[in-house]
Amino acid sequence: MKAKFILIFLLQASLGFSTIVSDTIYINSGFLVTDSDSFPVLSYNDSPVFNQGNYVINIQKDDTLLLSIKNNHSQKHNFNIKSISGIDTSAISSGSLKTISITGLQPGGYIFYDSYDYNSYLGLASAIVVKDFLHKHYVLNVREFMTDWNFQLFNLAIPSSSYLPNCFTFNGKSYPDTKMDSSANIMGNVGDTIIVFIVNTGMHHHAIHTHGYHLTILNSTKESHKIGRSKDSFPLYTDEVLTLRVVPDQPGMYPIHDHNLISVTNGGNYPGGMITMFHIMP
Amino acid sequence: MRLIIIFILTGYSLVYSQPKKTFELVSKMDGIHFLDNNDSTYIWGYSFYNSEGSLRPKLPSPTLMVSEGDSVHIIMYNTSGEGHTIHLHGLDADQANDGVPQLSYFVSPHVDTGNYRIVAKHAGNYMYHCHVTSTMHVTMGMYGAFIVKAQGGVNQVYTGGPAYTKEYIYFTSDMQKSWNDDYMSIGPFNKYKPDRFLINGIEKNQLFQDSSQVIQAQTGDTVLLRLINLGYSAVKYEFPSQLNATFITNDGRVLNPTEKSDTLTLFPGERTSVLLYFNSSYTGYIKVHYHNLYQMKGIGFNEIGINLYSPSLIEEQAILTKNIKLYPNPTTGIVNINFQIKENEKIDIEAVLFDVSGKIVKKDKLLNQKESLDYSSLSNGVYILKLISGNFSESIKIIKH
Repeated sequence: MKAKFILIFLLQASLGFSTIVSDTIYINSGFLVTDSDSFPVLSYNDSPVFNQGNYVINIQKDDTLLLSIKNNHSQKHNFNIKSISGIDTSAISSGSLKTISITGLQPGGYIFYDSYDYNSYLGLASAIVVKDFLHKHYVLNVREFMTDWNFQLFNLAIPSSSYLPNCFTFNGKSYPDTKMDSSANIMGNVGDTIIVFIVNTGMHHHAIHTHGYHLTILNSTKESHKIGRSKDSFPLYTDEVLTLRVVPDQPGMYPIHDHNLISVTNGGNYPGGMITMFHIMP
Repeated sequence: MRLIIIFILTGYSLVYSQPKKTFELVSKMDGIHFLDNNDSTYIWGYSFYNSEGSLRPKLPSPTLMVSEGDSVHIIMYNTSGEGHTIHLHGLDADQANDGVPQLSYFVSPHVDTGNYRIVAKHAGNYMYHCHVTSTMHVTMGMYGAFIVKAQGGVNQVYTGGPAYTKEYIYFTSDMQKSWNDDYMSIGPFNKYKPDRFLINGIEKNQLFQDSSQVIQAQTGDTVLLRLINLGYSAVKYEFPSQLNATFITNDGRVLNPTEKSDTLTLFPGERTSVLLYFNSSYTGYIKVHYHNLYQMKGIGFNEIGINLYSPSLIEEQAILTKNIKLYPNPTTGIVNINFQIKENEKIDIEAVLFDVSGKIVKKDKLLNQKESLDYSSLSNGVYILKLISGNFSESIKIIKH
């Protein structure tokens, strides 16, 4: 059960009111299941029960995040945020709980992760969204796996083969399971403004293609010179966060998928992997 | 009653007032494609419909060129043994015309017809490809360029945008040749490992043997490159700094501001319009690197030639480029060449045949309007026939079978 308490108090008269948002994430281990594979992964969840979809932390601009991290895994872990300095990244031993305070995050999307060894690869990487907008938003966490590596790493072995992923996920799900995941399906009406954060927590670069619409790049943590461009095909580098805006101008169902076509497979079979949908009503 | 009819007709004409452009394509699975070093393999693709029987597909499939504002209708006849569709990549077609079989419709094997309708709203570079089992059908070659020119087809990058004097389309893709060779045992699809890296379906030396692939420019030209990438690789272009490469559109939208850079990387699915300014004499190459999407490791390389020619010699060059008929090609041995020349014009052309390694295998002198060249003693394969007249030459690929 997610423990989330909001406290409001006055920090400084000059800064106005600030909100402290308390949240708890659990480091769980379990099996990621697709229609072709089942293999061990780690996941950040909002409860002690394993869920193969990582939890996304949402706060508002100027919020202070009071984050508790509970390590339910047998190994030690830590917590870090890409491109943010000053985070307490000391170890969180198995079974322990650690609370950290995070302030000053600018509006946008961030990747939080475990920087020990292969833990990020194994699943411990998700997103913090700092909102300064009122629109509906979605987060697509893009990650691929090589299932053999996961079994070896969970047995504390170093991967013995070169990286050749065979499982490709949006928010921890592979198509067709993405069809049933409300977090991975972008829903709205014609004329809505919808913000989409796409975060690449995998080891591959990806090429995300949208059918039906062009989306405007509001921010890119890797290619800032592309901010403002309207595109249908998006390079997505490792560790990149893309912030996109779409205002659908036609109704319908349209795919969103990786156009590096190895990634629209499950265990080498098509269709699968990184495919999800826009569902836009009139 | 008459008023109502007039009103309806007026409304109809407003909705469909855009110029209409119709293409008839046939999806085919019987293509044979030649790569460098005389390698051949199988491809699938689309050909223009021909009432006498459509031709075998080429790689890439035919370029579909329309103008901004055109109402476009593509009719696809599927006479092949598998289902196909046409996805108009980047054109934001509505769901019915999007070419995704599960969401639009599936054009069944053997007898079915697909109809795809869009309005080309934005000038720029797009592509079309099959969206049925994309991992296989794209790999087999079912793709082509879709170009939206400025309104009226004028030589502006977009309507009211910068002008250009010449344009070239470079469509990059890749191939794991063994998959095309034996497409019945293709896959697993995540193990695709490209070993042929293509520009407009060809590679390496072929890009120089086919003169239409070489940028021909003269001082003062502004050359538009329409760059489209549908491979599994990220393609990095290196432009000569002397040409002031400027990126004008990306994914069919105007870049504001434009971007000036000597390098451009296109991920799978991306397209960019690049202007090159020939303000000074330059002859050389554009380097094209292919990188995998894991650690961006370099896996392939091509070059696009740039040839600066003198405008005073254009007329002489035209003798070699426009007035030649060469047939049959492919040939079993005899190749006929006809020249259309002005009265009293003298022909003095040397015909030099090269094999794909660049070795001269035969030389002939052409002195008459109609000549026959006998290549029947040569082994089967791809050859380059170079026609040389004075300081000029023209190369034509010949297939002997």
